[in-house]
Amino acid sequence: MASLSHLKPGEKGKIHVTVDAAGKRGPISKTVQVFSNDPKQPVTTLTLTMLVRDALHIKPQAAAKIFEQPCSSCHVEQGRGKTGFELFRADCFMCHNAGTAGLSISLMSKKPEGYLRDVIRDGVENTPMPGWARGKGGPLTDAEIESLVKTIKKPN
Amino acid sequence: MEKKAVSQLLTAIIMIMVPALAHAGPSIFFPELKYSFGSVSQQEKAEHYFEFLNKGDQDLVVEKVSAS
Repeated sequence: MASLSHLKPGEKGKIHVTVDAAGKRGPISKTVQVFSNDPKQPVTTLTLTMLVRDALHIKPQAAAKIFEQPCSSCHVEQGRGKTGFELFRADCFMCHNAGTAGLSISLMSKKPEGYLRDVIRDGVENTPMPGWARGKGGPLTDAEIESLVKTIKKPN
Repeated sequence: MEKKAVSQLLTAIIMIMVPALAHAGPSIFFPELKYSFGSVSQQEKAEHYFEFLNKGDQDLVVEKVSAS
């Protein structure tokens, strides 16, 4: 049996490719380049395509569902131990990226600090924005929330 | 040797060498270069094996595989 890397004339090999659909939506394509010592074809490009269905955001859920599995692995766990812009990118960006569920960062930056702090802590009723403060069942400490407020208010 | 014989001999040598040179070496062949998984849900991890073959007459070495 030939190893992946060394094939005698006539021998067969296999290239194993995995594509992780987590966090993706719609048509996606991935290419793999295979570099070999074939003088006429030193690089071969392989292409994989798929259509990612969103099976997770179909029905409206209570906002706090985001803190339970399976939602938390994408929406909360990536932010553990982070602050400031890194925390924003991990926990907030997915919904607050322009065109998705929440206000864009440029619109949020115009709100007063007190408003931002309250909304992040307590959430907004009847919207997908839950309360993120530990006291409200969320994962964030006051210091982490403060770092988000500062990040949102910082001029770009 | 007269000129005509020399040029005929050279032509014969070249005609024998060219096919031999063209086939010497490894030759990588993938019967399938594209694959579609179709519709996949966000929680699935999709995997696929691309088969390939050395159609050449010398050892083929895959030096690196890189993904986008």
